[in-house]
Amino acid sequence: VRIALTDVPLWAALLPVAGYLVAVGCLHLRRRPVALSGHVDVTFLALGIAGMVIAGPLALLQPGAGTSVWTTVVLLLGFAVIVAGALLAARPRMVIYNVGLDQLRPVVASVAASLDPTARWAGETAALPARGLQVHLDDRGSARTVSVIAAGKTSAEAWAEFSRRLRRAIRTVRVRRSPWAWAFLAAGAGVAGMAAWLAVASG
Amino acid sequence: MGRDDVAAARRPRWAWFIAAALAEVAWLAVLAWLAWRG
Repeated sequence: VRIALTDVPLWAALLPVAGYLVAVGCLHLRRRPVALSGHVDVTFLALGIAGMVIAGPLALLQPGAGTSVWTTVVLLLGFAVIVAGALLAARPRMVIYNVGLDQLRPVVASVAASLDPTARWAGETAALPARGLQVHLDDRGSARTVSVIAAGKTSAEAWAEFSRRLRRAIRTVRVRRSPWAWAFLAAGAGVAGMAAWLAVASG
Repeated sequence: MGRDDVAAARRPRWAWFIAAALAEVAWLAVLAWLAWRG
């Protein structure tokens, strides 16, 4: 059995991108923020672009490696290893979709105070000296998505406890629908439409 | 806890991830079939 990645049609490679954009749009449509661990967030992004990676760089490498099934599997594993390496190298992080900094900061402040009464803030960074943890709120202006990033030397247990409590605390927050939802959904529909058009034109 | 919170607590958090993983595996199978067919 031979699998030539150059034969993967572009329309099929585009489908996960459309799915990713629609999924992010749906997260922004909800009336409560959604907290994902940084690892899950990057994994979903990697799955979303997997089609483009397969039809692009992996198909480019395949002529040198051959079209056996196992070659294809090893090429896919190579991509998975790169993603896994990026995940392991990344700082502990939580991505909270559809929340503004003004709404998230009091929640983080109460979680930090409950973990360490001596917690103190400098700008958008809270230090919890008794727990060996510093967290930084990374906000992209009007994007309505905030990353909570562990900064400096991080105690793994403290981060696990902090993210567990933050996840629970964030359930009580109510938000309005983000205007970004429509932009993501429109982009997803656009990519899906392009994929359908390519499928019809090539089929 | 309100009614929504109880429903959110009952819903298995991993259901979404398992659904996404299954969709990805199915999509990879279709991709492999398309590449094999040529």
